[in-house]
Amino acid sequence: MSRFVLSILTIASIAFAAFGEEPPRFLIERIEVRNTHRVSADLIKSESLLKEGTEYSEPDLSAAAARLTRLPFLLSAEFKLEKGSSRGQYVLAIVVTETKPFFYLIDAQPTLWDDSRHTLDYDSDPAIESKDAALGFRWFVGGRGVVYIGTTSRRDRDVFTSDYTAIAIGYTQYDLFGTRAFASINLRRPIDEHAGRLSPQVVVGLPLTTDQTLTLDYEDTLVQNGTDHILGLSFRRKEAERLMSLTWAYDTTNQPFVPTRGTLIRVTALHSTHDHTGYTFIGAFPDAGPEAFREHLEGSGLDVVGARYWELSDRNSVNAAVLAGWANVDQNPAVFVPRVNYHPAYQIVRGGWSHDLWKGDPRSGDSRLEVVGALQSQQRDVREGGIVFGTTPDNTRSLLTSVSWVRRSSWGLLRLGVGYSWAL
Amino acid sequence: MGALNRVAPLLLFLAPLLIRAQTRPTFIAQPGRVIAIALPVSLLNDSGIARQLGSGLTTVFLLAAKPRGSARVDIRFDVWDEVWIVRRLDFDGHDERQRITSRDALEKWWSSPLRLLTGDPPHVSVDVTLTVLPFSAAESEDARAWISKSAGSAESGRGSPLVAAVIGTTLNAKPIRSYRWQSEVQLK
Repeated sequence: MSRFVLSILTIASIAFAAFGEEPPRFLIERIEVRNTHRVSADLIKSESLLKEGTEYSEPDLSAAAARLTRLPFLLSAEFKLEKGSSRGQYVLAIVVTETKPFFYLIDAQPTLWDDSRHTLDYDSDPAIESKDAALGFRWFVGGRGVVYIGTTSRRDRDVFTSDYTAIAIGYTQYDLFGTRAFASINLRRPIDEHAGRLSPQVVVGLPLTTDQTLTLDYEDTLVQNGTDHILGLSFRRKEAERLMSLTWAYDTTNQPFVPTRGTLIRVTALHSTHDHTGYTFIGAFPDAGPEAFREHLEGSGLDVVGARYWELSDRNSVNAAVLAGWANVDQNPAVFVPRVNYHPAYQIVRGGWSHDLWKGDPRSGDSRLEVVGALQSQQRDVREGGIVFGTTPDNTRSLLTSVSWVRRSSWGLLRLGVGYSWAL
Repeated sequence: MGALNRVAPLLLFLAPLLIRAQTRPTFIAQPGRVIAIALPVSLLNDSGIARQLGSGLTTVFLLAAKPRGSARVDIRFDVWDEVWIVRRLDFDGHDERQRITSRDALEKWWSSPLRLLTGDPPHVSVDVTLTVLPFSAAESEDARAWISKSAGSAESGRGSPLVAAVIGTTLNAKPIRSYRWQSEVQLK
């Protein structure tokens, strides 16, 4: 038995040195990007974080390849070394497969539940930050810029932020001022009969290494802006949210949406300010008719995601993830009471298995069967004004299972499935 | 022509079986209750493996065997010297490195027996998984660290395919291909 373990240790430890005491390093004199049709070669070079005239080891090149395959507009990136102009120097050929200019991300996976369940569903997929659907069209402009138009949805796991679907137009500039940072400016209009003006969003990202990124997101969203007429009275309906978040992400996964290997750790600190005006029938005096109300909500929270994906073979992959969030929410004033303060929290432990349904060329994408099980718990530690929550429980736990089919191709991602959830 | 038309569908039907048969390795009983494996040359011609072999970067062939055994082969083509830099490690830690100057010599070296495991006579049922990976030294160090750390907890799982699988999968690289073969080997 011990011989077996020793042999495995020996086999694995061979990796200390590939072909000698020192692993090989390659002086890359030039980087050539091949098979591009719409994406600029400069953009791909820039996003690889590799520099011409620098020496790299195979792990460095492997990390750069993984970083490129996580870009939403590339399906694959293969690296190949060729002879350079003089001995010991290499040309790095990056052969890419691009995605189509029209793109979609459709995550249609309704969850059924038994009658005893109270909680809302969480999106427990750590690889996708916003669930449901996105589709649109992108154009590459000026070598390092991307213009896109489409629909997008905002869904997160925090109870104090708004979820909505919006039409959006945006521009992303990569390699900002030659710093490898990127910035996106989006204008969004929520899809709602009372939707307000175009709402701006600014995202600035700074790659710290090939697998670490710091991202600052600012959103000023007018979710609703209109007037309700009821019983001869007019009420202003307005829902506005300002959200700022700072995210540090460590990502060594191989794909942006359906990873099968690698590690993802994401820590997000966020602050949200939410103003809501409208009308309510629940006033201080019964039968008094509708009354205007105004709410102001401030929430600060921390979300943490840790996920690990293992490939058991070229077709089977398993994963495990922990997702958790804590927040402090102040609602002032609220209907019934002058102030509500509570500390919502959630924890999700998730495990999954996915199987590649066809053993094809990875440049053609994936078609996978996914099975997921997740234990979800949610707490609401109410410090003040608990009456507004009525009889809804402060602590809930549920078990979620789901089965889905996922197709990732050069057109985008389609996930079709069904889930079932039990209250515990 | 008519005969060809009749034979063509049959050939199409048999082609996958023929290809599959060609990718089977040979198991060889060696002195000292050792079982060696001779890998088929056709593996090197698989499109995905051939592409990686031609990339100038390392290709790793990781073998995990039941009941208890493992071995590893690394191949990198040096584009400047135009030689194949190869290395293989038997189950008992025997380490062999070479610089091979021709494809023919590479194929000959590739198909020579690789000591994989020991067994108890007279019959051993061998179950071998071959995982082909693009190499990364740091990732493999991660594997080594993981295995060292979990060696204690792996005691009960030794010899299980899971342990063998973990060796391959902890390497953070997408397998290019994986194969599984089973065979009965008669030991003297």
